[in-house]
Amino acid sequence: MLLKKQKMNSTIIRTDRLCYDYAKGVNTLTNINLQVNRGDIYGFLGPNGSGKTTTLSLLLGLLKNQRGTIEILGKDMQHHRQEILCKVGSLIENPSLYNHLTAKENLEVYREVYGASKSRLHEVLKIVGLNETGKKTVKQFSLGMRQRLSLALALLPKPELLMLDEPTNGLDPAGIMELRSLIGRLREIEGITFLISSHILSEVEKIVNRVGIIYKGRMRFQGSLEELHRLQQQQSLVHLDTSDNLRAWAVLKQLQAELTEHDLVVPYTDIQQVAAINKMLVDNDLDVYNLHPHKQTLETIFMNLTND
Amino acid sequence: MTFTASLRSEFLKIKRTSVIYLILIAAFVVPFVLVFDHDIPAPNNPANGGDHFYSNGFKVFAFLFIPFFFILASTLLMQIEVRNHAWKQVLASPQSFLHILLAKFAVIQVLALVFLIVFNAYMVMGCALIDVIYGVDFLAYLDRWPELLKLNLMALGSTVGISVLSFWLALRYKNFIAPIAIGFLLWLIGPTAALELKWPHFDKYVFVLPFTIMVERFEDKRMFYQLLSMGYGVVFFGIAYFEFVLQRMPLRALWRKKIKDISGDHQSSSRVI
Repeated sequence: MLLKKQKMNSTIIRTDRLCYDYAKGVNTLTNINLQVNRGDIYGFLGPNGSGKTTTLSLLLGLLKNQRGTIEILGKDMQHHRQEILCKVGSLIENPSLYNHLTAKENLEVYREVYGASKSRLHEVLKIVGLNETGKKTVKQFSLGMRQRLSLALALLPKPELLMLDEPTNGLDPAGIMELRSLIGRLREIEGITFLISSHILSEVEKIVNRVGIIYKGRMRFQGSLEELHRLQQQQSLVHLDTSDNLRAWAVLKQLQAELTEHDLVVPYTDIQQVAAINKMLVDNDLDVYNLHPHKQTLETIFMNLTND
Repeated sequence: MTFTASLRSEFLKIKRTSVIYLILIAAFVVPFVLVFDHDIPAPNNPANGGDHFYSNGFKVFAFLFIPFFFILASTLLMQIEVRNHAWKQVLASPQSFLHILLAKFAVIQVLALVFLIVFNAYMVMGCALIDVIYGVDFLAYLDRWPELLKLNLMALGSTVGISVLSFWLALRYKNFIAPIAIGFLLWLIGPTAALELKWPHFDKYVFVLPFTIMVERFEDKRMFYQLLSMGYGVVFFGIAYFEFVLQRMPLRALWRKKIKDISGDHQSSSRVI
């Protein structure tokens, strides 16, 4: 039981001070310390061009590691590339499929490379709902079908870790929901750890349990979704206008109130605290003309973290 | 993963591609032209006509068609990955870089062998057609099949250098025009060096080596040219391999040196950085 718990808690991806430059003097990635634990659905977030794909490409050995170390499944990537890739499925940017081949043939290309059985091939096609595409070649597939086939390809080796780079790109809302439920099911049934990159927080917010936010090649935040929510609460502010803002500031000083030119700003964590602030002011004979709680959304936190 | 798995993977990729049409059409050109433009057999030596028919055709085939086949087939094979954005999937699969390259190269070699077989089949059909129309015995040249087999094998041997050079060019350029244009220019240097510049060592130029297998002047040094072609092949493959690997892996990792651990706390807790 303890062993199982330890296994569940073990780190599956660990990067240490990972740096990458496409050109001299242009730091694409700087000191990326990524940590993904077994069983996580890790949302790797950041705006376009922030370094998500570069990080994933380094993790998969598609780019030359310039500085820092990468450890996947407890092994160093540079020295155990093949061993690691046997247990890792990936979908990087556009679907990497052979358009002149059928869905089955595309999987057949990699089946023996991954040492997968024929029954596994049929199984993954069934999981993504492409088991009845027959002789239709991939060039006749819709983008959603291609994305699902790429996912089937990533699932072929029964991976312990699945890296998906912007998997919802080009999918319609129904497709996005379908993918979300598929990821949830795969985590439950196959126990796969996911690393999912996206530039839209709301897209992955519903499925991830851990988040890493990258901006201009630097990690701005890394932690659980609850911790991000806590940060959101810490950054919510109530704007006040009273009959005497200076006296009100003195009353609310212990709550880190700040006096601005037009109003008084006080951070709050929950809506009950706003009521308490109001009561404190009224109890001190201050008239409250305006009380405007401004709750930060995860989206605004994300925007704040990904802004200069 | 085993090399056979990589090889199987590469063969599956060429299904429904135009490479088979390239083979069928390109191998057809020389026999087709020869059927309409062949020499009359010498009297009392029916096989002579066939010999001439075959040797004339094979010279053009070995010097022009085989090198261009390698240039086009290599480009076509690499473009399968480029056009489908599939390189990253290949490289993210558990295959060694050497297996990936060797499997692709092996497919090209097998295709070249098929190209040679199809060419010979067309030549036999061409001779048979002439025999039927003119009542000659061109097909008698087939009696000397060990000699022809040797000639075919020498053609393959003499083009090893060209095949690897074409493979390397196709591998390093994403644009399909570049390897074809460079390949054509490199081929053109051969006749230019020999006929225009009268360069004394033109026979050692990689694209001229197929020319040496049928020209009497080079008869004594044929083994040398075969070895030279293979030497070129080894050198070009070495360059292609190291270039391919070093784009994706630091040199130190190739020698499996242990990288000194960079000490430092790995912060696992949440933080705004």
